[in-house]
Amino acid sequence: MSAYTEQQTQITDADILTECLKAKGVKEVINHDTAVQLEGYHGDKRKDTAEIVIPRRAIGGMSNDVGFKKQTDGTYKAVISQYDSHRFNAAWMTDLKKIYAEKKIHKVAKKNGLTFIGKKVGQDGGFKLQFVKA
Amino acid sequence: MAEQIVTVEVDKNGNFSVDLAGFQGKGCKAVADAFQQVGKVTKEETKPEYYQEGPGGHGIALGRG
Repeated sequence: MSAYTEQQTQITDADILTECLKAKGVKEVINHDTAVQLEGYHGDKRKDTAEIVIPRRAIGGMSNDVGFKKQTDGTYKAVISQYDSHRFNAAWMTDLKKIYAEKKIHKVAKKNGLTFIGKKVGQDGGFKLQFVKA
Repeated sequence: MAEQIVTVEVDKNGNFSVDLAGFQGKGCKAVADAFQQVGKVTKEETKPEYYQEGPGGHGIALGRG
């Protein structure tokens, strides 16, 4: 081994985040160039803003828009109302983060000339990806 | 030359580790740096190969690898 690092996944890629939300079964995701106000369940404009929006019509019921707001460090932070936090809870966010990590790792690997060898899923919910330098 | 293998382990919380095997010098640093696009480094270990000259290199490589 020549190097080993441990890293905390940071969601910074809007395109991949959008792909991940669709992979999680979200029917509609709107990716705005600049942050827009989120809508409440009455159709009212809330003070919260976000660039990436899951419109309430795609969530259903009495839901509000769910958003992902770009922070000054380039990471996206979820904006979820208390009502919608039952569905979009910590477990949902962790799963989203895992899907994001996998997609972004593949993207970075490909861009750096690494060829995917395989994936091994662990029993604890984690997984291992292996690449070889061509 | 040893095969250059990258093993990325994503844990149950969505964080990950990157293990670079068979890399030397600057090539190692380039690959390690690339994965910083996925997340912030919280722990880092380097191995003796890091300080060895890679193919086509000139002198001792500096930095991670």
